[in-house]
Amino acid sequence: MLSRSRALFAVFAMSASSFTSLMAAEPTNRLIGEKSPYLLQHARNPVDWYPWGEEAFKKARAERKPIFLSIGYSTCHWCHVMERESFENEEIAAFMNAHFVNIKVDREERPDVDRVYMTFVQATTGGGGWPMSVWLTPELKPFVGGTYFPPEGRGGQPGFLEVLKQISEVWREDRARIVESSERVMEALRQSAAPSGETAAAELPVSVMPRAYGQIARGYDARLGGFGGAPKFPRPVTLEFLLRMYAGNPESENGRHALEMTLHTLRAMAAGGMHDQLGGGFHRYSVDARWQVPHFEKMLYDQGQLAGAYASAFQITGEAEFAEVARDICDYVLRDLTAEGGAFFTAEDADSLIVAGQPAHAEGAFYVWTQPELVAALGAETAAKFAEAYGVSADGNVPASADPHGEMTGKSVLYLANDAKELDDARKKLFAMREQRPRPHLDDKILTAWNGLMISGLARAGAVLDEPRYLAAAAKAAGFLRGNLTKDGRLPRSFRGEPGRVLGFADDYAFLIQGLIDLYEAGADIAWLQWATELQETQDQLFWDAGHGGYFTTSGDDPSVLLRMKEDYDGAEPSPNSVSALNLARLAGLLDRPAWRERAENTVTAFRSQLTHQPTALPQMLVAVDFLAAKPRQIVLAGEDTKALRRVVWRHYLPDTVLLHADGGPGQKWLAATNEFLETVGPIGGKPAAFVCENYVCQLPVTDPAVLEKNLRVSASPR
Amino acid sequence: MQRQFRLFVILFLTATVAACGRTDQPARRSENVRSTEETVSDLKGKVVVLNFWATWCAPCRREIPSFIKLQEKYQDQGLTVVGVSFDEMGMEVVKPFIREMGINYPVVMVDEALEMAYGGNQLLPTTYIIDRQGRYATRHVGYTDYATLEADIKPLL
Repeated sequence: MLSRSRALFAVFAMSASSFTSLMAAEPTNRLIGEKSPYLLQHARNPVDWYPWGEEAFKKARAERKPIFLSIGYSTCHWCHVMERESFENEEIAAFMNAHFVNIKVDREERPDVDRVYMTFVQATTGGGGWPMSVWLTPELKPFVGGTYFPPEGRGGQPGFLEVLKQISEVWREDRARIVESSERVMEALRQSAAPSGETAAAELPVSVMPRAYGQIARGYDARLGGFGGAPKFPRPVTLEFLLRMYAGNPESENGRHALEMTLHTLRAMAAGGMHDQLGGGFHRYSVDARWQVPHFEKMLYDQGQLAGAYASAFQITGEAEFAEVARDICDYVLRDLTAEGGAFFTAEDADSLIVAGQPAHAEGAFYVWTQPELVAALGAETAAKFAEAYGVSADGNVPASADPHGEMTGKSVLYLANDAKELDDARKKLFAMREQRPRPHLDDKILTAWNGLMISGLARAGAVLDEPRYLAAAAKAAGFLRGNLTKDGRLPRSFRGEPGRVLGFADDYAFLIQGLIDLYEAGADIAWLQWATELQETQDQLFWDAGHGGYFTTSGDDPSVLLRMKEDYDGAEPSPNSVSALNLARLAGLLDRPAWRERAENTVTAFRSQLTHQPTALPQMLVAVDFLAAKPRQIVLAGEDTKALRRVVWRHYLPDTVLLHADGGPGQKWLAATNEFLETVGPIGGKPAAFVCENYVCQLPVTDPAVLEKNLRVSASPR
Repeated sequence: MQRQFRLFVILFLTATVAACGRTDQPARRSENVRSTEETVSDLKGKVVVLNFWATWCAPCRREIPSFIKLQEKYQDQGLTVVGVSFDEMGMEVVKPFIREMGINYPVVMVDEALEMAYGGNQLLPTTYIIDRQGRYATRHVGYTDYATLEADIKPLL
């Protein structure tokens, strides 16, 4: 009943921003003191919004009013539509203020609150999405929920004001019954969220892998790439899983097909309008099956994961096109999403002003072109070539079905329709022109979890492409996060100017730890591995379910979050449980800590039921299963300057590998304290050396990069 | 079979050369680092477990307690384990390790000539089991557990 379909949500969670005018004269509500850009966007609504917290709860209790809880995020299109239509409407706002205590939540800041009430909305309506609208008793128990409401009833859908009136009437007349039913609902939710994992060390569910593969392959769109029909999402976790299936058995038919599906999908995405052809990076998802018309918001988590996926494709194929895409993602993030201190911003909105200084705005306005604009910019001849290469047409190239509001009529989304090799200059020129347009709103808060994903992407791409800038950027972001820990070493969830009040959730730890492990393997700085180890210990303390295995999303410290739940779906973002399973397995290998390997296995088996019944729900966890089941490979690079050997290692896709660096200094000593095999490795005859062990067999160390290349090529073949 | 036996001989010839080259620091019996001549003469008529290993090799290190146990249990019945270390850093790193692990069987160092004899493609750990007549009986590449080793040597004793 409570199974989630993120794909469905995302249909609601489309794109765009509000253009709440921020004129100083307008009165503000309590959100003005918040850090979240999304909450700040609502700070001038006539609705008397409260942030999630005791002040609001107390008022609800004292005045015996129900709470109206509205949850969204800054790049969510329909969130802003509802704001414009209803929350900026004086009449509706007055009614809300008189009869409800109104709370606004940024789901990116409070995924814990979001998760509890999303479970309720899904269970009671069969769907869910954002904006999410839920009515709660003063005890925070939900009794009515929904998503977007139009201001007035249309097409059978009740209007928001009407709903408000009905709820307030029922609350007035039948409160006892509402309270009672809310308690029953809460009990049902509590039971359905009750952990059911297996405590005993069960066997790894390896048999799920071929079933998951089969289901994914059945949904594959062989013509257009991707999986399922429109809308199409990148879902990098699926690609990561398929690449592992390939690497495990590259000669088998399934192995070859897994690779083909992945590469074709990556190529199709890169050629599509979902890929920003001028500025680099990817938009959220494609409305159509051809990857042509996107929803234009650009999310940090997509950039981080896709940079890694394209880097992997380059390792496997050596084809420059994959390297270029990985590079353009990283360059986009460094150029447009990097904060002064080195951390990364959250997202760029889909909507922007059409003309600077005028209120009219449209989705994609920053990104789309008319043919006359091209002619004016490039001259008729080049414009014609460019239009042919990038699918621009005089009438615009966006079908009405993909543009229900007619925001892109006559305009074209650039996608690679034909060869564009000689159009570099034209692209640069258009990019420069585009930079003069009014920019989409930037959600400039810094989320720990998403920064973790980006650190991973940059570290992996930096190592694979041999681009020190990316590694340096990843290290700088990690340094920023490190410098902003709480006194007792805990991670804040977010930053904006300073760390936010909310402490990190399981995903903040899991994603950052993954980033730090990648950063250590890529750049050899032991400090990141040391910190990853500390964070893993903290994560285990705060989130581990000792009774049933797996990690809760929340620490349980906050009494206003009524349920402690576990994330069991790898969607646009992977589940912290999946990421942690792989983190633990890698850390166990790096540090030779069998207890962490055991915990990795227990994390997987805690989700055995979900894996068995819905194998494609957790592709990233299957990646961890693959790592745990595979014959491990350990590579130690010894010596002070191992760059040449490192370059060779990173040219290969070696997914079941842990990569260690023996620098002969304190770092090696620290490693050797737990991983005794590091005690005696060192350079050979003064030369940096590579020690490769695979499936409990070690090759003799080599110092010649060419020999290492040959050895790895042999060992990268079938496991 | 014949070929493997020759390899065994080559091993001991080359290992001897290696040991002879190391006149500056005679091995001390107490540390179980022995001259190869000594080792070779000791081997006559014995069942030999010949283990190629290195201190940096994780699976090798995991096997060592098994070898210690075999040596302890069966040396009176004419078995000996011989460790051949592939540590490039030489006895300097091997000796403290022998002490720390309490290795109770002889350990010798390998050299380049031996590596060449194996095509420079030696995998560690590799363990050869040789009967009392000096004939090669079994070979294991990679980590091998105690029970397997014991089952191999028992019929030979």
